[in-house]
Amino acid sequence: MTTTTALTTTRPAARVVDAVKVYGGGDTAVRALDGVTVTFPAGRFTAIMGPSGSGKSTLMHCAAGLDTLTSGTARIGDTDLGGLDDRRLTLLRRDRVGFVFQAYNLVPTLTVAENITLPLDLAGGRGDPEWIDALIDVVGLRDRLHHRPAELSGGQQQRVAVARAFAGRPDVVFADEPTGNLDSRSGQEVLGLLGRAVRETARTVVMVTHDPVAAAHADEVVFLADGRLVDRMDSPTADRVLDRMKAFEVPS
Amino acid sequence: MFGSATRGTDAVVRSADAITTPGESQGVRQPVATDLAATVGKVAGVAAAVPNIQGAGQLVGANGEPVGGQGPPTLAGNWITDPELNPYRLAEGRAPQKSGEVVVNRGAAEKGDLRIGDTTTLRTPDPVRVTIVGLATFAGEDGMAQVTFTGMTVADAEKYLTARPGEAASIQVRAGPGVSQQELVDRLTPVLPRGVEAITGQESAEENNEMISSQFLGVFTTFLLVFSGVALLVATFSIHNTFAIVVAQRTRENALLRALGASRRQVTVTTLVEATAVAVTASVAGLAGGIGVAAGLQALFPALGFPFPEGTWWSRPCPWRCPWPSGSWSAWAPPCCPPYAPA
Ligand SMILES: Nc1ncnc2c1ncn2[C@@H]1O[C@H](COP(=O)(O)OP(=O)(O)OP(=O)(O)O)[C@@H](O)[C@H]1O
Ligand SMILES: [Mg+2]
Repeated sequence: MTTTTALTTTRPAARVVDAVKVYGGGDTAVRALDGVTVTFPAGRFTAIMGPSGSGKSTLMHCAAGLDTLTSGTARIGDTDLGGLDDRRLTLLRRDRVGFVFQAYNLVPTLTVAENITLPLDLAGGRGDPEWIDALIDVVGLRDRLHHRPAELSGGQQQRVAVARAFAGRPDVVFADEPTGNLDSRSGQEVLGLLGRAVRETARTVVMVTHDPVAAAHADEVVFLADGRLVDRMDSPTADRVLDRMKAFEVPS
Repeated sequence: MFGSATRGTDAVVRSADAITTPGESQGVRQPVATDLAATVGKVAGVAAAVPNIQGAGQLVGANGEPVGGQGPPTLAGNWITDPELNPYRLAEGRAPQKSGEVVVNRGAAEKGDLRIGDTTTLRTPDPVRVTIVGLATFAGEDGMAQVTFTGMTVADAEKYLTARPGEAASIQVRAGPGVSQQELVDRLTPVLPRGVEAITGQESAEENNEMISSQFLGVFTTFLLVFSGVALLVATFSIHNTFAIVVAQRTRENALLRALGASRRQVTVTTLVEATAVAVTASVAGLAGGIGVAAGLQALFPALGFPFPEGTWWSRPCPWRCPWPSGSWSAWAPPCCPPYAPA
């Protein structure tokens, strides 16, 4: 519990309070989030874990402004997402948030370089060329800049996606199972990239994962079950996360 | 094609009353007196006035069989010597000068294996011995579709083709220089006896076109229109469907773009630009294909005996315009209509 005090001193990059998300209505309504309150502190790498269907993706989408909450509030920095119209949400997604999905991150008709700068091009700006140049080196794709996504391996594609997520220097990068489709070596590369982005360039990353080894790269793990936040763990190791996950399966 | 053949006729003098029978758009008219042509010819502003005597006349071919069988109309009439007033042109030989001499359209002659100088029988329906002295063309073709035409002298035509001598179906009038069709009609009307009227050549051509299209081409045109309508509908739906599927497939890419901060407009515009490019390309390809088919049909129709007029498919608006709305609507609608609107 010593960590709780440490967290409150950090500025939140993203935060949801009493988040409820209900899909559908009537008999078929699904309560994907059932009153979740969680803070993702700036400059930290947070992992979200939980059984399938526990609401991890939903939490991330709502926290990032890709989806709207049924009730409760979601904030990026000081901005309340509930009060934003479509145009402002678009601007927020473009300028303040980055995304890495499990797959299909890249536009197949664009080259690697074009994919990386896509958010900046959509914004109509050039971004910071030095930063992007450095990013390309960090993800190790300099010799692949003019290739199309189909010519890259899955791990290389995810590295392009990571570079793109950071290209606009967003407040926070959300990654939904970014290593879910990768073998362990490629997965390690991607996780290493995310970790270094947080530690070396003071970025904020929120990552959903099923893999305890992946979660061990994070500074903190939060556990979801049935749409509720059930636990959190600081400085996780793969073994401790694995034990915690096993504990889930017994009671439920 | 029927209009261009009678362009030289500026006015037609005919009986005012048509005896219409139910189901027929144009009734049978009483004949007019042949010598009315002389009266009309004296009116100021008239360059030529000739009686037009029409009847049925079936040629017998060299093999003894009637030319054209029982199918298309077999017409006979007086050979009108004024080339402006005669829809037929003398292509070979000469005009009939004495009784028994005839001009036939070249298509009929070829079909009956008849040559200039041959003598054969014309059934009006009474058999008349005739000698072919000339071959005629109709609007540059060997005949008006499969219709056979035999042109005789005025005297022969009066004798064999009408119930009583001295009667003509109408009188064709050509105006002198500087006299319009309407002026001509206005000048003719006072000299005409009761029950006889003058109409402009244009009105006459329109009436003929109407009759031809309602009776002869009507069924065919309706069939083609229905057919092209069905084709357009099917094409529209299949294009629409294809695009709907493509858009559905692109939903993931659009969702990605939206997540990366593309505005709704940016995504829609991207899709529309792509849809436009595809629609234009497809329409051009379709048009090229359609032109190919049209050219094929154009070659096919004369082979079946329906010569095409000059100025054909490319002068018709429909083949040009139809692909565009169908292509563009079906390509644009899916990205625009709500179920597919990029979220
Ligand atoms: N668009 C939707 N419409 C209806 N129900 C949905 C929708 N998206 C998610 N759900 C439901 O909400 C619940 C939480 O889904 P969510 O995708 O957040 O789970 P998850 O924790 O990400 O699972 P996984 O680990 O399998 O990705 C599930 O029961 C799911 O079926
Ligand atoms: Mg998920």
